[in-house]
Amino acid sequence: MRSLLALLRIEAAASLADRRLAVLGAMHKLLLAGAQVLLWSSLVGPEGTTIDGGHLSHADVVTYVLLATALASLAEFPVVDTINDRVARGQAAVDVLRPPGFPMLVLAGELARFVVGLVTQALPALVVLGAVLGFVTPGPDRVAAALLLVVGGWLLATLVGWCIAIAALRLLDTTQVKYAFQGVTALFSGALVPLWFFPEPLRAIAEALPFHLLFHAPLSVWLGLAGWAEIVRFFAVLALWLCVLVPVAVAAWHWSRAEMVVHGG
Amino acid sequence: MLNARDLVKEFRVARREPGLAGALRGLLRPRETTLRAVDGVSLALSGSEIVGLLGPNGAGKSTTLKMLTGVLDPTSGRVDFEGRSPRADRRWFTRRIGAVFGQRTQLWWELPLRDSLAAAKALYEIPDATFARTRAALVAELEIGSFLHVPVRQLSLGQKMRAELCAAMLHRPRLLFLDEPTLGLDLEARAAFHRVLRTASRGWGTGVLLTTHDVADIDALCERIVVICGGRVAYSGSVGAAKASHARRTRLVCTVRRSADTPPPRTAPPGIEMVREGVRVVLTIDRARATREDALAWLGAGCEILAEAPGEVSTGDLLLDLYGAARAVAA
Amino acid sequence: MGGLRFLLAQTGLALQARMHDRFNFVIEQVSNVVFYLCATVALAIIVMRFGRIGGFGLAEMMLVYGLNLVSYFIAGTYLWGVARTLEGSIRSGAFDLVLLKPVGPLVFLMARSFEPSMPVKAAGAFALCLYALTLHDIGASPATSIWLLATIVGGTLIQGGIMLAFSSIGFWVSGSRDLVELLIYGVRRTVDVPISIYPAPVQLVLTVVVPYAFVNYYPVLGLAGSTESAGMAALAASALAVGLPCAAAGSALWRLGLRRYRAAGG
Repeated sequence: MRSLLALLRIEAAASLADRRLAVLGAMHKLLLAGAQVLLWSSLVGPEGTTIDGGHLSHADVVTYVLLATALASLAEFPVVDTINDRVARGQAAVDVLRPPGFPMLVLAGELARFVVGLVTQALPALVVLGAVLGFVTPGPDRVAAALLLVVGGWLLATLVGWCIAIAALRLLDTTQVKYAFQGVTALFSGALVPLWFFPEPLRAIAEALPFHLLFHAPLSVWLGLAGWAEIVRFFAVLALWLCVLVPVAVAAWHWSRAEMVVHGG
Repeated sequence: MLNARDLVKEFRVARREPGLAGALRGLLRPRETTLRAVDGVSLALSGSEIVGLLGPNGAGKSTTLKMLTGVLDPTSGRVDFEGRSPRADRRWFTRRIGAVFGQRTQLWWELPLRDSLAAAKALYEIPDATFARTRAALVAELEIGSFLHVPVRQLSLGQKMRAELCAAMLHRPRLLFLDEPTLGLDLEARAAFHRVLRTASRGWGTGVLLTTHDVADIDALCERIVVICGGRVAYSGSVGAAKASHARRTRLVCTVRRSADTPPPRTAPPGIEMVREGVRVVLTIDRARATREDALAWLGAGCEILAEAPGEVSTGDLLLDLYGAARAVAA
Repeated sequence: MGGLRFLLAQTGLALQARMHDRFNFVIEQVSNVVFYLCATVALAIIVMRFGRIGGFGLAEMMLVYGLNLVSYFIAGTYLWGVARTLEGSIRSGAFDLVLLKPVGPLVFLMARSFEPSMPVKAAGAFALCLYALTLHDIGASPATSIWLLATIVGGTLIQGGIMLAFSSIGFWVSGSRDLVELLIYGVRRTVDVPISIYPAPVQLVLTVVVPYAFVNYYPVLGLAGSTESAGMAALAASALAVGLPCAAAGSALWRLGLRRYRAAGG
C-alpha cells in the first residue's frame, strides 16, 4: 500500500513536471467546456427542460456538461496508449523486473494521471465556468456516492482499456481500434448527450452496456435525478461488471505477458 | 567551385539576469546583446578535394556550414557556387549538393530503406539508368545491400548513417556537406564512410566539406584542413604543412632496455606525456613548458635509453596546438 | 511542377507502406468510421430532441458538421503532419536538411506528412454532406451540387490556411507543438455546431480572426435563401471567397516564418 502511494506520488509529480503542458491542458478543457456549455444553454434555454425523471433546470444542465467535460478522459481509454508506448519503447521489459510489476505500474500511472488531470486541467475550467454560469452542488451523501461511482467507473474504463490494448497488440498489431471504443463509449455513456434525451431503443441499449456507469450514473446521482434505490442498482451493476472484467484482464495479462515483454526494445 | 568571402553572422540574444526580479525586468525591458558567431570567414572549395572544417565546440563551424549551404543568411559577406548564389538559386544549387548533418535523419523512418532511396530518385529526378548504376555502386561500396528491405527505424546507428550517406549521394552531388557524420560510428561503418568518400572524390570529382572532431577522419580523408576558432579562420592548408609550422609539441621516440624500468607515466613533469609500447617509448613534449633534455633526464633517471629519434607529432596534438594558439591570440 | 510530381510519388510510397498490412489498415478505417458515426448519431439525437439548434434543423446541422469534417480531413491529409512535426524538426535541426532539398520546404514536409486515413475519413464526411443535402428543403440539384463542391474547396482552403498559419508559430516559439495542436484541434471543434449559439464576441472571432465560420455556417445559412436574394446567394458562395485570401494569408505567414528562420537559425 505504501509503495503504491509512493508510486502515485512519483507519477503525479512526473505529469506535473511540464507546467506549460498543464496550462495548455487547462486551456483546452476551458475551450471545450465553454463551447459545450454554450451549446446546451442555447438548447434548453433559461427555464430548463422536462425529462421523464423530473425537471432539469438551466443550472442542472450546465453542471452536467461541466462535469461530463471534466471526466471526458473516462471515455478515451488513455491506458491503451500508455501500454502501447511502454511496449514499443521496450519499457515493459524493465517494468516486469521492478517490484510492483507491469500491471501495478500501469494502473498507478493511470490513476495518478487521471487525478492530476482532474485537479490541474478540469478543476480550473469547472471553477471559472461554474462561477459565471451557475453550478449545482448536492449534499455530502450524494457527493460521496457520485465520487465513489467515478472511482469505480475509472477502474471499469481502465480495465476495458487494458483488455483493448492487449487484444490490439497481440491480435491486430494496431491500437487504432481504440477509436471505435471511444466513439461507442462517448455516445452510450452520456458523455456527449445525457441519456435522458435518448429515444427509447437507444436508451435501452445504453443501459444494457456498462458505459452508462461512467457518466450517466455519477452525474444523475450528483444532480439528484437518481433515487437511492437506483443508486444501489448502479453500484450493484458496477460490482457485477468489475467481477466480470477483473478475471478477463488478469487472464489477458497472463496470456500475453511473455510476448509483450520481448516486443520492441 | 564554392567561394565564400568575409562571412559574418551575428545573433541577437536576450541577456538573462539572475533571480525573479531579473526575470521580470527581462520580461518588461529585454536587454539584447549581439553575439558574433562567425567573424569574417573566407574559404574556397574545389571539386574532388576533401576539406576538413575543424574547430572546438562553439567555434562557429556549424554556423559557417549553414551559411555556405544557404540555410542561414549571413549578416554580411557573400557565398557563390559557380557564380550563382546558393540562396537565390536554391533549387539549382540543392540539386548539385548533398548533405548529411549529424544524426538528423532524412530517411523515411517507417519504410524499408529501399523506399527512401526511391524517394531520393523522385526528389532529384534522377533518370532510371543513372539511378540504377549509382545505387548499385553505392550499395556495394557502403555494404548496405543486406538491409535494403528493413524499415529504417530498425537499423543500427552504423547502418543508418551509411544509409544516410547513400541517400545523400544518389544524385552524384558536385559537393557534399557532412556535419559530424562519423559521431558514434563503429569501425566498420567508419571504414565504409571513408572508402565511399574517397571513391566519390576520385571517381566523380565530388568535393567534400566535412566537420569532425575525430582525428581518424582527418588522417584518412583530408588533404586540406580549415581550422576555425572564435569565428575566425585560424589555419588553412595541408595537415603536413601545419605540423611543420604550427605544432608546439614535439615527439621523441626512444628505445629502452627494459620496459619495466621506465617511470610510471603519472610522475612525468609538466609538459611531458609518455606512452609505452613494450621497449618503445613515445614522449610528447610541450615546448612551452618543457625541453627535450628535461624529458630525456626524467626517462633516463631509472632506465637505460638505447636509442632516441624524433617522431612525427599526431594530428590530435597539432589540433590542440592550433586551438591553443588561436585562443592565445584572441585573449 | 517538380514539386507536385514529388508529392504524388511520395503519396504513392506512403500509401504502399500503409497498405502493406491491409487487415490493419481496414481495421483502422472501420474504427474511425465507428468513431465519427457515433458522434454523428449524438448530434442527430440532440436535433431530434430539441428541434432546431441556433435556427438550424437536422439537414443544416448535418451539413454544418459534415462540411467542417470534410474540409478538415482534406486539408489535414497533408498539413496535419506538418503542424505536428515542424516545431520538433526545427528543434532537432532536421529542418536545415529540408532547406537543402530541391523542392520547396513546404512541399517536402507535406509529402512526408501524408496520412492515408484522412482521405478515407473525408469520403465518409462527404457522404454525410450529400445525405444532408437530400434532407434539405432546397433538395439535391446540379446547382446545390456545385454549391457543395465550391463550399468544400473553399472550406479546405480556409482550414489549410489556418493550419498553416498556426503551424508557423513553430518558427517563432520553441516548444509550441502542443499549443499548435490545441489551436488546430480545439478551435476547429467549436464550429461543429452553428456559431449562432455563441455570444457575439465569439462569433466575431470565428468570423474575422480565425474565419472557421465560413467553412460551414455562412454557406449553409446562405443556401436556404440563395434563390431569393442576391445577398444570400453571396453568403452561400462565401467559403470560396474567404478561402482564397485565407490560404494566401496562411502561406504568407509561413514564408515570413521561413525568412525569420533563415535570419535567426533554429
